[in-house]
Amino acid sequence: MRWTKVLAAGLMGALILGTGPLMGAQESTKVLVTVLRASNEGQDFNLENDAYRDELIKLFSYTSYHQIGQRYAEIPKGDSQTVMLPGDYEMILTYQGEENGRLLLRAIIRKSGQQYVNTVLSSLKTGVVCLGGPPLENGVMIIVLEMGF
Amino acid sequence: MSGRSDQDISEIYRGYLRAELEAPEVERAKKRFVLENFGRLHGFPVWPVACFATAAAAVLIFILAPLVHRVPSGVVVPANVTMRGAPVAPAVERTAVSPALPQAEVVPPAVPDDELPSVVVTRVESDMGQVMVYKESAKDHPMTIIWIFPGR
Repeated sequence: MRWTKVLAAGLMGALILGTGPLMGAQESTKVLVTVLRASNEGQDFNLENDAYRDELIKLFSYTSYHQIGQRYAEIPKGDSQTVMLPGDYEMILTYQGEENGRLLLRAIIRKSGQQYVNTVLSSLKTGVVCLGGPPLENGVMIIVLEMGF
Repeated sequence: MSGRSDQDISEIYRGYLRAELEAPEVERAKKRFVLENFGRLHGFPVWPVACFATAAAAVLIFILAPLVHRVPSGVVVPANVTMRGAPVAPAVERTAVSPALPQAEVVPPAVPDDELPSVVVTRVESDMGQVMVYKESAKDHPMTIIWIFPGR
């Protein structure tokens, strides 16, 4: 009967290891940052992700949307990453961890020491947030944050 | 009289049989016989069945754990930057920033997860002007919009 006990102990260990990821909190999160410039100059659309085109047209009254950059960031818990943006803006993303099953992400957009926005977002699994409004080259900058994918 | 004798004989015979069968030697012999001939039937294979069930559960958990833990919602598009005007810096830089908020106010879910908004703005502020938070509840692409109005 000794082999059965050894087998049972091994299987219990496997069970504990297998359920580990379910019980532990997420140690990092992934964020896709897409930078757009919206303006009323022309009627061009240059968006790699067509899924948001219709939404942007519905939401805003600009005639032209240009995707000017895209960044992927994996942010460890408690860590920050700075994404340099056009027009001397910078965005600081901080992953604050998980609370009640939701990812907490802090996003700051600043320029020349002034904060254009300072926000904390709580995302359930995946979420999309548009941060917009900072002026950029006769238009405005729109930053699409896709979290937790 | 004859009937009564038959009945008495039957009673005596039954009593004799009962005494014989209930004798301790007979009981022991019956138990020994059952153990020797049918002992294996009583040894239900508990350990192999338990081990098999545990192994099946472990395999299921290994298969399902990554799926339950994090399911990718789409394909990650590699950074294919079309530069116009001021470019985005090529490398993501890490800098030390002010410490994270000690306690973000998150309302505990009181409704099923399916009915909760995917994103909740727990805090928003701006040095530059007014801020508007708007939620577009499109079925396929629910979106939260934070718009800054500089100078207003």
